[in-house]
Amino acid sequence: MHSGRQAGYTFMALGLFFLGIYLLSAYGNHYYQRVGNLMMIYVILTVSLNLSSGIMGISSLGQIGFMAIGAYVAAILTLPPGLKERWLTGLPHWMHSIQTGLLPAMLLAGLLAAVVAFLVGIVILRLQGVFAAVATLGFLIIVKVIAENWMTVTRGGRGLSALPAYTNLWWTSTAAVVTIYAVWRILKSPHGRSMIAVREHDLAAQSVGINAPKIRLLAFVISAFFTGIAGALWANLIGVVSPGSFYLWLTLLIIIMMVVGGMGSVTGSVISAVGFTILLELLRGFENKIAMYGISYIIFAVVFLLMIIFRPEGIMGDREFSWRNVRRIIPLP
Amino acid sequence: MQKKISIAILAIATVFLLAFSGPVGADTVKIGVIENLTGSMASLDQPSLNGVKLALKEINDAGGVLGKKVEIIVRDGKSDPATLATVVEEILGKGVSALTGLSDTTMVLAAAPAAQRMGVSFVSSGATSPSLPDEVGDCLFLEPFGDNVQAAAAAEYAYNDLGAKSVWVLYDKAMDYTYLLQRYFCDRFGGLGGAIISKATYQTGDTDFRAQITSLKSKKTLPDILFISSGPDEIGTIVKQVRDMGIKIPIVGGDGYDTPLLAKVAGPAAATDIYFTTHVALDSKGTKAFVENYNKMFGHPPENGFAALGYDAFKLIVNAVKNANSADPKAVKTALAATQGFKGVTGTINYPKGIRVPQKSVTIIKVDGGKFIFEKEVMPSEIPAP
Repeated sequence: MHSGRQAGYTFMALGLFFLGIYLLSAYGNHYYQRVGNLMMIYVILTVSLNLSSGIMGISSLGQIGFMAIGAYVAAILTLPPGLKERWLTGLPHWMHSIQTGLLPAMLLAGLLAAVVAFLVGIVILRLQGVFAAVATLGFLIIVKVIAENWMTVTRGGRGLSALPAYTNLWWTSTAAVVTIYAVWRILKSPHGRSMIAVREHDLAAQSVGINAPKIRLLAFVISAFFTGIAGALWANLIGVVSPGSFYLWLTLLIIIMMVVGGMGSVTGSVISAVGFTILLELLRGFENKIAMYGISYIIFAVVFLLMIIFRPEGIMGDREFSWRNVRRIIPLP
Repeated sequence: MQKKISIAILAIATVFLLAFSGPVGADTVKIGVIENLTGSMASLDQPSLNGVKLALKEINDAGGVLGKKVEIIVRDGKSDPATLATVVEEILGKGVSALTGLSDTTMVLAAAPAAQRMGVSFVSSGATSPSLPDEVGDCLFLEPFGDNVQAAAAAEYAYNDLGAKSVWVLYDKAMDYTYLLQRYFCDRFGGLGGAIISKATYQTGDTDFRAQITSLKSKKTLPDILFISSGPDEIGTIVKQVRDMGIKIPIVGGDGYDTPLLAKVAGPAAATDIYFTTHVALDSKGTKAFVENYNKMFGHPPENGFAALGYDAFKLIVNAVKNANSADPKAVKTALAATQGFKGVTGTINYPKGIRVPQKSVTIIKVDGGKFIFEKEVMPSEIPAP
């Protein structure tokens, strides 16, 4: 198929997507908007986790730690100055009077998460497999403990509240599209090929001249960048950040989303994040109907187990969406 | 063809509008109830929901309000801020007159801002941070007293009734509630002329407090009382370890002690000479009917004071609907703010002008041999600013 035509299709699909976003933000009720926002944040989290874990093969249990960093950076930046002065006495003086909008907060959140990922990655990425998993889990715990104890900057377990509700569907959907595009481009670039080569056979990849530690660090840092952005969006959506919010539940949720979608497939992550967000909401509705609270977790776990047993490679495996395949099923012009 | 397309577009638009528009022509008064029925907060929020259900039954048996039945829309927040923020939108979309529920400040901070944006009142049934109404806005009301009130009551009781002149403080630094409680206590105790010997901290989830207790034992002069600001999970263990290490000094604390776990974990021998502030004494005369009805409906007595708080918060809202003579959220909000002399199980609620934290008296409970005994009601004479 002609590549110009493919680009045309892609632009049309994007146009339709943003038309949907427009309709939802203009006419949808707050509940659907809220679910839509969370869905987009989960897409960002899952796709960026897939870059480091699925595509690159780093078993990371610490991803949500980067989200916490991003959320706290954004929270501190967007907190109204009066509260900042009262609560965050540990900040340098000049920071008390500034309050940024969402875009600078997002970018700085992503950047700081990436810087931390760089420093942590130099050490942790020397480990592989289950050792890396344990070390990254350690990182997650350290982030939580710091957030709980650095009273004058994070306000400890009390968390930061009264954050302005900057996040809306336009921000989350644009950030999701940018994340998907970036990870997609990386996957299709020589860097992406190197990542897969290193994942499949470290030594063989190095023998053909790939700098394995460097490429691992690259995937880890980029992944942390987008995760930090998701954290910033989350903070200004929910309006309160506290150490307990970024812990095991979110860690598990995005790993399940990634595995079910297919490790290594960006398309799979997107489908899975969207699907699971809807599934969780439907299950909640079901829970309310029968008034058996907590049953959604059980169903959720069963879905995951069935998936692991009958389709361990996930929905998409490591395949990707392409217009060529769509055309085999639906006759596009 | 053109016509067909325009009809199709119209049809789709109609479906959309129908799907997204709220319910029309409600014949019940709807009140949203948001509680963490699963997760870490469930032990407080479950009884709270039961209290709401009991209040609902009593109100509807008596004919409802404004000639209509009252209906509750219950959602589980799963002790997760993201879920809370989502379900609150879901409830608000159903056109409720007001919202109630939740026993923790952080949880309220995640759920309430959405209600504030829509101009719908949120009556927090169990969160006790007195700064909550200022942090969220004019739609947030507390049903219980603020932590500054209960801490001041504890300080005055300790100073005047127990004759304490010095205190050693231990608090959980990972919780908003425990941090604030000890701060207000020290403010008032110091204001009365009492001495704060020193403070020690721990964190939610800790199980060994012997290092802190040893540092207390090494003091040259021991304090008259210990003020231990703890949540419901740790207090039993702390009391046990304090008593096991041979310290018989009276222990004072807040409503986090109001849990069966205190006597169960510490044991009757250790759980003695303890005084705490709480919302209601479930063994007193005023609560007898409530306890009996609760027992009848659920097959067991109320687990803790949060059942009574949920019950009162719900009746407070229905009372406001009645006073407003309207189920409109704005009218209900105005009526809530004007509440005077509302008699609940947990005390009488007045909202002074512009203040959405009630002036309520505080119940002091004495624990003796593992038994909770009603000691007295205290209305603190001076209250630290939030």
